[in-house]
Amino acid sequence: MVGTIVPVVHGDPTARRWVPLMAHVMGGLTGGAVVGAAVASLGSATYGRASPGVTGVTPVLATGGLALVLAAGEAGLVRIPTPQLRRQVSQRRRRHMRPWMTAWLFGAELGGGLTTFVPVTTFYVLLMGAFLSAEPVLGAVVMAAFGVSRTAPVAFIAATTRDAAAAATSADALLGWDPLVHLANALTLALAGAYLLSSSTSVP
Amino acid sequence: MRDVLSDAGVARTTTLPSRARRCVLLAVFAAAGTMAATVGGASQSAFVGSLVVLSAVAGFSALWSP
Repeated sequence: MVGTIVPVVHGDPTARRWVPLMAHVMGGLTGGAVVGAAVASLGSATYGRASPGVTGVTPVLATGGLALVLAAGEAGLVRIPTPQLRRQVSQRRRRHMRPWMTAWLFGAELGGGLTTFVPVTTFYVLLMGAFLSAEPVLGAVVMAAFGVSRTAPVAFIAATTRDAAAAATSADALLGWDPLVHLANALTLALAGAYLLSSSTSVP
Repeated sequence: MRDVLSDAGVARTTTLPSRARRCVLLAVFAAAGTMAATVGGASQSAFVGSLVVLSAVAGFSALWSP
């Protein structure tokens, strides 16, 4: 993934690097917010309308339950099949657009998360939470946080490396930590899932 | 690719704890979550807070996309 944005930043040595970097993070924020609001609006139009009065406890209970199930999957204890798109952002754009615009679009696509590969199943808990909340603002906040936290580390790597090759080496060095990343997701899912399930008993 | 990087000293493949230890870890974290709910109670901001924390972890983890 680092291979997408870094060449944009380092592609033009005369350009100010912070412009595409900021555009990338802002794209992540925007893309995440739009997808989150859209998913929550979909929830509002379908589930929220069909089940008035149960929107208090159901999102908390269902999201917590899903988080616990996926925690076992992320920890490698059980195998849980999940839908996954093996697509990455389009590299062709890089040749046809200005660097800041390409960076913004990359960010928007990554931040939305629906059209690119996401390596952890924690993402599905976010989608379910946004959908069942049936509140577009809440969905936008949650997914915007995802968009920023997905794009900001990439921007950081791009900003702190000399060139695209150095950034690629930094990214490659991360690969070995992949098992621990899944374990960290499992533990966070277990913590949040148990919290949500337990707190659902006291939702009015 | 990972093997090549490891051989080159670029990346070091980490190993997971045993299955039993992972189960224990999950149980400990789930117990901590249950205790936090007992102390903190339920509110919409807690629901949003939980999702935002998961968002941050999921977003950061996406750095490990191929």
